[in-house]
Amino acid sequence: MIISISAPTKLESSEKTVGASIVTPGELITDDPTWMRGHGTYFLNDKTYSSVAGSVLKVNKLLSVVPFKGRYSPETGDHLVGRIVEVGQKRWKVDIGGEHDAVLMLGSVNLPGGILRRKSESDELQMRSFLKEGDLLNAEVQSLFSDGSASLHTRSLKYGKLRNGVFVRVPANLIVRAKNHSHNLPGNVSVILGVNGYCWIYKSSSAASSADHSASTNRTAAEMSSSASGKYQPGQGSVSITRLEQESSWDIYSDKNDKLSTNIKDTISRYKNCLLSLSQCNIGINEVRLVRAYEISLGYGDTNILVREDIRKSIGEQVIFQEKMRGTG
Amino acid sequence: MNIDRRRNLGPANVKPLVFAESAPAKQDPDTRVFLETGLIQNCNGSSYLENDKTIIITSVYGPRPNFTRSFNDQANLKINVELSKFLPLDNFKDNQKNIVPDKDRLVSSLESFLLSNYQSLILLQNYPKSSIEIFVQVVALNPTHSLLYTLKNILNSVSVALVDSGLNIKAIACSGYSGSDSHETVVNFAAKDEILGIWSDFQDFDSTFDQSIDACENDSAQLRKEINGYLLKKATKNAS
Amino acid sequence: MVLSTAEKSYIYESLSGENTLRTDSRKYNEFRPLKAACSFVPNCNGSSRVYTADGIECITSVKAKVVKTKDLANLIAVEVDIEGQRDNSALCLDLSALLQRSLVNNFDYEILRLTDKYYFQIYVDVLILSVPGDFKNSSYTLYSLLSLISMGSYLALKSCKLPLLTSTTNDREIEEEPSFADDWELATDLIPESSEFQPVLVFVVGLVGSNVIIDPSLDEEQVLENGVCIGYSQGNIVPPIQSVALSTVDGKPFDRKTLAKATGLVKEIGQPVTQALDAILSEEVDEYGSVF
Repeated sequence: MIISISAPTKLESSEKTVGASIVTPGELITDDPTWMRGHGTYFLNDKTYSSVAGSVLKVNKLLSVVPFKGRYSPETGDHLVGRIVEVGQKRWKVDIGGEHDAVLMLGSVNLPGGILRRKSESDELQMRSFLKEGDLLNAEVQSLFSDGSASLHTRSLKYGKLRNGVFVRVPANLIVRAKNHSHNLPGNVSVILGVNGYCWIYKSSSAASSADHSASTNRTAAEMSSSASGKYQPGQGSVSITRLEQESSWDIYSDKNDKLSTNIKDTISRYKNCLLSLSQCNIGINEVRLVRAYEISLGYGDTNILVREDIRKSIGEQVIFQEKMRGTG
Repeated sequence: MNIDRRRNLGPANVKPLVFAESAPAKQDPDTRVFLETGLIQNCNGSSYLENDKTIIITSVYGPRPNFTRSFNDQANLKINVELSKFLPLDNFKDNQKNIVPDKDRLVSSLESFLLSNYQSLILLQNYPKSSIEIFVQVVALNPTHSLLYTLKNILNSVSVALVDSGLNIKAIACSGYSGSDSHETVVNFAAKDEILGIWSDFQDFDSTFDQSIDACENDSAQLRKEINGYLLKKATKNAS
Repeated sequence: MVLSTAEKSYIYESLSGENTLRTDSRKYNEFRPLKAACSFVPNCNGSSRVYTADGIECITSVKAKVVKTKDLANLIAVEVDIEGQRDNSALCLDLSALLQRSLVNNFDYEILRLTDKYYFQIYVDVLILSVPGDFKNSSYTLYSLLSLISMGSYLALKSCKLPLLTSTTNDREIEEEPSFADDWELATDLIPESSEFQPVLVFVVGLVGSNVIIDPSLDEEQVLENGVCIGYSQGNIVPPIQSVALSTVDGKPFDRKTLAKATGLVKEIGQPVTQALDAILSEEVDEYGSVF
């Protein structure tokens, strides 16, 4: 189909009663002054009101409202995907879709040459050769500043510059927080579902696919280096001694994509459309649902058909339906 | 209540005022071109082009450092077209429909067209963190020249100025024009069968479209020979 | 949004490859899904609203006025305004000029004629709402909006209603000001159904390698080597056929074969696009009525 132009969908007034825990700005949440007031609330005359539209969250005595919409607000430990917007003095500014740009200090990245390498002035001068404007990276929030902006770090092998794939942006609140945000998916494709809603779909690295399916990304850097060095045999033909050193060479800042087959590219764009389908239907996104959406989409045949809005909608509906049938698994 | 609307328009037997036809008879444009480079001293490259009472001066500034944006990994190209005051723009009409052109719109159309052409010609990647500015001044205009015919002259003037500036370019561009009563086409060629830009108002699109591009290509090839000859002569004169 | 080097080469290689893979899995000749509605501005003769899924929205209105003129080309006035851009910015001026030129060059002035001396003058006003926030420091330009704008003006012109003329159409002998019926139920279409005339549609075609793609997305624009806009009306290629700069990065020259491919592509998609737009015209609009 060359073009689809549809009339705007009519607003449906739903007759369904919504759960009582959903509040709108200005709505009275409680008049009990013993509650502690968290984000998304304000206090007037001993009464607590909501300041955003969202659902009420009660943790012990803390009362807060989680907004349905809004910019991402970082928390320590979040696994993010970000884009460099500025290279500055000893730091990069990173767009993470939040209120403020995050900072990535030169000291919080792995530089070529291994872990024991000292940072020198020349590193400061060639910061742009590591990461430059527009580059995508995945990182973890190391700490938060008092204004709510984040400081990132990439001091682990699972973090760093991103290659071999495409970038997809979905609303941050759709990403379900989990222990692990990078997944290997069927079809030799991996995904990083950044907590900030920035996602990266890419070809699985050959190392990861040959190793155990999901465990490889879970392993810490230390484990990896020790296991790799344990397996090391002289004359193996590898350039460096440990995996850590191998990974820390200039390759980690390379801009060159691997050779990508048409097949892989097709699978990547299929996953991209699946992500967008889930986002369009406002379904929380996690690995299980993404894989399910992918499997459903295979039933529609050609990837090309997933551009259509109605198809995307029915994929979302089927994901929800399957979940209901199987229980919450 | 019936108002007689016929009364408020004067007597019925008036005749409209008609002036004698004053437009000059259409004649084939004089294709002879006078070209000179390097006349302006304070820029990095310049050209002066004269064709049948149309005079176009182009000056190229750059590459020079660019402080306006945070960082650009390739040069920022800016093109500025200035149509001098009181130019007879009436002939810059489109296709016989005499739109009196809005000068601002005309200038920005020309600028964006030139930009799309020269972005593909100049090796912008060789000049990071810099900006290149090209100023085109249409000093005088032959009232019989159409918009596209003038555009061809502008394109050639810019191309020659770029050569004079010594900037890294992929090739010497040269544009050709073909026009008839019903349509006009300008194509800017980087080489044979390498189109940098096209601007055409071809009404009845058919095989003659290809012919008009052929005509442009011939025109451009002829001009290219002349321009190359001129540049060579100039270069060898400087060398000796 | 500036793309990273790796992203750029991924998109470029996919597009310029043999079978033109696009990252959003469209085919080379496919548009992004659009939403459209018309006749929703109450104080205009015709109006339309066209928007894409990513929120770029184009609102077009057509107003008509009776003028006494001989100069037919002045009967169409076009103004494009872009949210957040000054109305004398190069982009606004250039888009206005392009649209005006294409409309003026391909218009059937007979439908604007009231009498021998009086014509309708039409004002086409286009408003682009919400351009991408990071537009300022990105390497794409917004000339790709041209196809959205021309679809908007197509719908607005086609949905344009004019009051019914009650006075005589022949005033050669008697000077008479035209008068109209004051019943809007009797209003006639600006473009009567019997007329063959279709307002021009302008399509933006991206050129990459020897491939051509229609309706390039903002990501794609940043890797394209060149772009042309091509007009289409009643099954034919019409002016403008003109190069446009789709990005601020350096491009490459293209050959005549690619240009022919581009015009071929527009010829191929023109008919389905016109049909899709005409389907919108026949749809009843009460979206806004139902809310209140």
